[in-house]
This record gives sequence, C-alpha cells and structure tokens, in this order.
Amino acid sequence: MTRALDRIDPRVLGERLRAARARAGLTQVETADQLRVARTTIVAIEKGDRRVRAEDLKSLSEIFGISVSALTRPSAITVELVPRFRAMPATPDGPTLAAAKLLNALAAAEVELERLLDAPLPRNYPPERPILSGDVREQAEEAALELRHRFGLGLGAVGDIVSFLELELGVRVFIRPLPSGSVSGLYAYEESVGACILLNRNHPQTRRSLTAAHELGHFLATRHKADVCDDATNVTAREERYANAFAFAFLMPSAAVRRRFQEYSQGGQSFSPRHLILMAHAFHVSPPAMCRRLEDLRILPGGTWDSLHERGFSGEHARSVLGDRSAEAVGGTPPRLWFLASEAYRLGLKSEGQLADMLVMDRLEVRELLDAMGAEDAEDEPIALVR
Amino acid sequence: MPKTNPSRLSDSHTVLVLDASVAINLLGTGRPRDILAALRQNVIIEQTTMREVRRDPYSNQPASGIMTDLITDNMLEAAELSGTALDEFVGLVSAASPDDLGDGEAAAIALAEDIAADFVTDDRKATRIALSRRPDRPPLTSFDLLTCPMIETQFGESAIDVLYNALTFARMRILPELRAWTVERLGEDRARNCPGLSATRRIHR
Repeated sequence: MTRALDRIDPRVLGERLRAARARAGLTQVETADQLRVARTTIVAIEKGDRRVRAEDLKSLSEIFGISVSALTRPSAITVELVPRFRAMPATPDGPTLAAAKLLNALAAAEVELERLLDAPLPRNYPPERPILSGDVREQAEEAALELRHRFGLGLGAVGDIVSFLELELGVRVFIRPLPSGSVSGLYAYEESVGACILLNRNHPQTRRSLTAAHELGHFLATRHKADVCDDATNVTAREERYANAFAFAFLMPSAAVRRRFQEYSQGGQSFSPRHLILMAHAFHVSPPAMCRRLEDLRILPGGTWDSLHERGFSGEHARSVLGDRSAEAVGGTPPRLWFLASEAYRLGLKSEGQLADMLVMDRLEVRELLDAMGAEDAEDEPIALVR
Repeated sequence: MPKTNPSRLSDSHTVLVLDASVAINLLGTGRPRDILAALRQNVIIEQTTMREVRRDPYSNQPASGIMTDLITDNMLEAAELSGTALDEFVGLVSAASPDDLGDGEAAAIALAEDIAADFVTDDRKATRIALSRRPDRPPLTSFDLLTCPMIETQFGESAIDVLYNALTFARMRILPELRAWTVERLGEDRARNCPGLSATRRIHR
C-alpha cells in the first residue's frame, strides 16, 4: 500500500520545509542538529532528492512551529514575507519578527481561502510613485491629493481607511493584537499575495488609521520594501518622513483642514482645546495628530501640542467633549478574512481546527468569530434576490 | 421535562479518543475531573491534539496545567501516534480539500482507528470524514458525554448546569436536531445566553 508521504511531491514538500525553516530563522545546520541528522540530509530533503520520513516530518513541524497540515495539504500557500523583514537594515527584534510571522500566516490563509471559495481579491493598485530628490513633504502632499482625486474622495474625511484599502485598492489589511505595544503596524509586498498590512488591535482606532495611512504611503512610494512602524522607527530617514507626511496629508488634506479651522475658530478669532477635539473627531484622527497637522501647516504655532500636554490635556477631555462619540467603533477588525473563514467553515471546506491553525487563533476565538458571522446556521434561510 | 435521554454513549463504547473541540468543552464545564470520573470509558487524548487545547475557557487560564493534572491523576490518558497510525495521520492532513483535516483532528481519528476506539468530536467536517472512514462507528460528541445517564446519575439536578457551562464558557456546539431538547432542559432564558443554540437567533418567516 502506498504510504501517504509517497503521494506527496517531494520537491513541493522540500520547498515548503525550506520556507518554513527560513521563517523560523534556522540554518540547515541548526535544523540538522535538532533533528539529529546530517546537514546533507536536510539539504537533500529540501531539494526533494530524498523523501522525509513521517516521524521526521512531525519533528520538523515542531521545530519550525508549523503544523504538518500546513506543510502537506495541497491547498496550502507558501508566502515568504518574513525574510523581507529579516533583510531590513535594522535587525528586527523578537516582537517584530513575531508580528511578521503573523502577517505571513494571515496573508497565506486569506489567499488559500480565496482560492477555495473562488473569491479572489481584485487589485486596483495605483502606479508606484518613487520618492524623487527634493522636498519629501511636498511630494507626499501631492501624492496624497492625487490618490484622493483618483478615488473620488474629494476633501472629505476618510472615516474607514481599512475598507478603503481593501475595497478600493485591494490591499490586504489585518488587525490583530500584537504583544508589543511599540509595534503599530507592518507592511510587506509579495507578488503572490500582493500588498499586506498588519495593524495593532491594541492601539486606539485613531492611531490605527494613522498607521494604515503611513503604510499606504510606503505602498505608494516603496512598494516592494517591507516596513515596520514602531517606536524605534528612524523618523529622520527619507522614506519615513515621506510616509509620515503622506499619512497626515491623506487623512487631513490641507484645504479641508484650513476650511474646518476657519469654521471652528470663527475666522481665526478664537480656537480652544475643545475646537481641537472637534476637528480631530471630524477627521477621525487623535487630537495630538490634529494639532501636529495644524502646526505643520503653520495654522497653530509650533510646540502647541507640547504646551497643551504640559497643561494636562488628556483623553478625558475628548470624552467630556464628545461623550459616547469618543468611544471606539465596535468591531474594528475588518470582516473580509472573517467572512472567508466563516464561509469555508459553513461549506464544510475547513474545520474549526484548521481555521485555528490558519488564522493563528485560539479555538475559542475561532468559535467567537464563527458565532459572530452566523456560520453555524447551516440552514441559513436565504433572502429572495431580484433577478 | 423531556424523558428520553438523547445521549448515544453506551456500554458498547469502551475507549474514547477526544478531539480538541471536546476537550475544550469538558474544561468549559468547570468540572472536567468529575465528568471523567463519572464516565466508565477510558478517555484518551493524542499529544498533537492536546497541544491545541491552549486555554481553559472556564478559568481563562492556560490549559496545560489542568490537562497535565488530569493525566497525572489518570483521569485522562495521553498517547502518541507511531507506525502506521502516523502514516494515516499524514494521509488525513495531506488529503485534497475538502477531505483534509487539521493536525489535532487527524491525530485523534488516526489514533481512534489504530486502537479500535471511538472518536469524539463536535466538528462537522471531522465528523463527516471520520464517518466516511468507519461508517459503523459514528463519532460521538461532547453532548453525548455530558448528557449520558452516568453524568445524570452522578450530578443529578446539576447535570444541566454542567452542560450550560460548556455552552456558555466554551461556546459548545449542539447539533440542530438536539437544540429543542437542550432549550427545553435549560429554559428559554438560559438558552438565550448560549451562542451554540443559534436557532434562538433565527429570523422566522
């Protein structure tokens, strides 16, 4: 009787094992040591010249922190975003690499589910706009305005930048709690999955929006380079200055900011912290971001935010002004991946265990997701459509 | 109160192999030790499956401690696949969609087949695949374990509370044909707190 492993193409399995080893940051020597085999054995397995034994496959899956299912099921997608982060000039720390691995897993999961459901994510990418010599802020402002114009956004607030990225551009966006509070977001691009962004669910929605806009700036200007947006980011680097300026310009277009300021300050007569809060709310950004934009546009003097902060300005002020409107929107997680997962479950294409593995979620979190999407209602009664 | 006990667990089932979905529900009852003690069957969990039981839904703490205690105290037996069972496992995880399974589910099925035991799962896909491989040994569910006569005898009136805990803390699933029975036992008010009883959320014509 043919063994199961004999039915798997050793070259495909070998390549998947190699990619898993790279994600785990292990060398062939390190892997061989852990498996207690010669390095040449690992080399041969990865090339597909030698079939791996079931026992060794199970051991390798544990060494690399990947399921045997992910290594062997035909529908699994191999995505290699992690090496792009490892190759960055500043060596990423543990939490950043963990976030990169999560982004990798979610991108692969989404593409696999799309293929199973025949529901590809259409790409509508604007052309890449490399940063030229000269003032990066000016270039960022122009790029932001051009993008708004291209998608008919006018000067209005972008209330839901995540949906804009997903639905208008076809950029994959994932929002998950990241253990490190200092990591706001990650961006990476690979042709098989396209552009992918991971945002930190532990951050307030206003900060997530700014991070998303920052990564959008990288997508436009340095499409094929991975980016990490965190507290350690070198904000003086040209590409970072561009991305930051782009984020501000995209979320708070200068013409719209001036008009709002004109309204709230009654023609420049009086502007209070309360007005700042209302403006920030109008643009779906935080008060410090709003203040910084006003300073950058020289509408407020430089250092205004520092002064307010020293005087004790805090989030309580926003709540006292906005009341319930200051509360974060319910369900900040974009539903696309959830929808794909719940459909795959409902149609019997994926089990609870498979989804937990693919989505890097606890089983209880998967159950919560499925309940939220009504996936257990196998007898969901359809609504009649207009034909 | 409905008189008929719908549990399919009987003395013909002597050895049970748990899927992670069931282990999580047992922990969700808050009384896994008492439940395992009441069951007359040997209950086994495969190592790969056990690794998927990460959090105890009742205490919201990591599950490793309680699982280890249950094994140390011989309430639950840990097993590891080897030989032909390991090959069957690889076959299950590497099958073409939609006949492929996750590691834990596949390990549990492979083990159950290897030792001629009964597989226990709440997952629809795992149930379908297990049934296709052994039509004469339909998988059991958490419901079968938690509503069997042994549990009713041991827990008395509080047997339904055990089920309620699993339904709420662990979001345990109930087969559609058993929902009416469960709602009647729990009462409408408590049933509304149970995500798995989705019939209560349906839009009726």
